[in-house]
Amino acid sequence: MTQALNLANFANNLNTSGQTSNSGLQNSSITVNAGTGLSGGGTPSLGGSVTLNNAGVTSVSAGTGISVSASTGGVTITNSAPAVTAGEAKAWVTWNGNGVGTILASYNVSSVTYRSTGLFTINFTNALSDANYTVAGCPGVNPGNAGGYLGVSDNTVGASTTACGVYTVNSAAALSNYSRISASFIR
Amino acid sequence: MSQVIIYTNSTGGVSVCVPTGELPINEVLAKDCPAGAIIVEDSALPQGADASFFDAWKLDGSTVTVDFPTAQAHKLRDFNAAAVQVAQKRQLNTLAGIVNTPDDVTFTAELANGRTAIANSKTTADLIAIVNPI
Repeated sequence: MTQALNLANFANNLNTSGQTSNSGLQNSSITVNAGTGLSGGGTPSLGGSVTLNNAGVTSVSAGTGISVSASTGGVTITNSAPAVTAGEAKAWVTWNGNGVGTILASYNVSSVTYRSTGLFTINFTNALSDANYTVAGCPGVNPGNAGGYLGVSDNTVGASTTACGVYTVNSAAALSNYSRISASFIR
Repeated sequence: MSQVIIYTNSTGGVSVCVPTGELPINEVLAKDCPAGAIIVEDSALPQGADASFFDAWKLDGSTVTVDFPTAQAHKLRDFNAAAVQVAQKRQLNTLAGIVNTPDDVTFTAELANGRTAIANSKTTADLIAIVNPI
């Protein structure tokens, strides 16, 4: 008697193709939960659909000193500027001051601006914590123009957290260029 | 060949910003240079003798040239500064009883000849060829 009743109920939920409707199933739907960084989800019936959306990172942009290879998919983030670590010279640079010369080597220096004979601005890649740093440097080699020295802050450019003006003079205290000038900024 | 950033500075001369390579040049342009600065190939800057007169460079649009009268003035300034140093040394020699070489007449004539040569020069190569008093 009971078996006959169950078969009758089952038969009532079959369509003409012999398929049963969702209401005829014990579990007619599933629950989709939105995980970390996702939104949406819900309890769609079997055969239905539900949409999950990215609610976390939607794009990646490069800031100063950072390069990004892509904004979606596999993303590589590269620090293109050196890190500044406590207990070290915060910046240093060695350059050829003759004419418009070349930068020989640097650390945390983005550029050297040649302003006039013997006048330069050292621009820092990452700003220093304050302008009370020590500057150590020397004009280097210039045959026939020996005895020079490197000074800090001229009348135009002083020492700041982002840049420092320096000058090189010969033994007669006249502005002069040298072929291997070096300066370190220590704090 | 590499690129540099140039602009007219507060004294009317040309400043040349040379990137170290730690940052892309466009970031250096935005961070280290004033508005109006432009990126050029360093080969476009004055070469040879003209390169030696950096303080006389002037920027017109994107072209850098040497302002020759300014170059002459700077050469004369350097010539006179060297002449003063040599003259002081000769005075000390005289006080110490050391005979100066060349003698005063010749030395004075050499200074006059040098100044005339600077005034008559036509190119930066001419200016470089004039030796300062030593």
